[in-house]
Amino acid sequence: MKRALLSLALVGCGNPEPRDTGGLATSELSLQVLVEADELETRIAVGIYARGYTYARLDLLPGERLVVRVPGSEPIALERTAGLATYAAKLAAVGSFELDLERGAQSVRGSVVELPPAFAFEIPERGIELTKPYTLRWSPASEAPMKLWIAAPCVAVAERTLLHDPGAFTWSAADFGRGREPAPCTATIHAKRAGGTLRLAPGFAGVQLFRAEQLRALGVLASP
Amino acid sequence: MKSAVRFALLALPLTVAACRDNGIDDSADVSTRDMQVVVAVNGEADGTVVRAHPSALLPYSGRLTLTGGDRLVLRGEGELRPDGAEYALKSPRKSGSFVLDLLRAHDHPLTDLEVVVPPPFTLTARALRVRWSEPIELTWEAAPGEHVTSIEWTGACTKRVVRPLAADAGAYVVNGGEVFRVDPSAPCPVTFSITRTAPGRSMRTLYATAKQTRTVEIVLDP
Repeated sequence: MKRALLSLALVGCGNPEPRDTGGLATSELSLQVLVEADELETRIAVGIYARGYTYARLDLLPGERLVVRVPGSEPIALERTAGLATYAAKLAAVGSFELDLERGAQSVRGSVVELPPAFAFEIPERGIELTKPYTLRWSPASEAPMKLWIAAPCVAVAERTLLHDPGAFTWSAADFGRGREPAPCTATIHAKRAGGTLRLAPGFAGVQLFRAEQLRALGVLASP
Repeated sequence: MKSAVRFALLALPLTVAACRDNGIDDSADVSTRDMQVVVAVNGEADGTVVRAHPSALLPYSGRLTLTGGDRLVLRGEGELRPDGAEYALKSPRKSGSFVLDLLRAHDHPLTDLEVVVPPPFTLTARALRVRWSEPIELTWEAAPGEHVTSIEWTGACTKRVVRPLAADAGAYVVNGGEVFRVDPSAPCPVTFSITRTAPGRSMRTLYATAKQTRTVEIVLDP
């Protein structure tokens, strides 16, 4: 009996989760690529996973690196962030970029990330009046879905989703719930357009997760 | 062998009795405290429909038929009559206070359950046919009050959405692109409803809800 338990324990310890890319071919690595952009910058976060392990994010070995390339700019190496193994970089606002994994003979270059189309709010003529509908417009419109929400201490509004983006959204007066503070206050309207594509260069195991979003925010006065 | 057959013959009637839903479906066999009546009072364009569903509480749970002189009465309006699996009455009044009594011949009655039906209204759409990317504009007569107002849309070609409104403001815009469509290339008839729901009322095991709903069908074109 004791021998059987011991052998079970040994089996359990015999296949530890990998912690870094050591001993793994690039064809055993999959990528998680998260990108968000606003008017000023593009933020990139990449996680590397071993095929078959959903949760273990891997560290790169010394000499290995992830690099972002934008035509006309110097390549930027992604830096390891604190905590979970994630490699991150900030670029100027761009519509697309290339991602390279450099690791000697196992390098894979030229994965292409395209962001969803950038957009800009039209400057509204007035702020939010809580007893009237409020329309916000932006351009260009897009086929991509969009989420909108308002953060403000004096008004409570549920997040709304546009499955198709017509370039405008109207909050009805009936959408404006009472906030924790009395109006007036400053409200920030947020819009997030999802979409984009990741064309992974041949050589990786696959894509763990890809998400690319364009975020915009606008501050307005919310009054009674 | 003989004893086994004897046991089976004895057990059979017991098994059959157990499968008969405890055998209680007459209200006269149930005490008031073992009875539950759920009442829905719904204001409509031409009056108010009251629907009641009497049932027995555990361990006798099941639908009850009012028997032995038991009656559900809408005070000043009349007695609720059997209507399918329920008891129903339609009043010509469109809103206001309704008082319900459960009158019992052999046990304590439950009386004076008052529910207030929210104010009636007319729901109007600016257009009954719009392109999917265009806003759907609905208006009705605003009436602030104790009730909660919500908008709902549903249909065979979309997903049902119920959205509580922060205020009964008398107008609402469902934005172009907010309504899901199963087939984006086909016209999609969607029923939009505005509902005013009053706070629920109860008296021991007599429960009532009251609401006022209006609907309009709008076809969403590609």
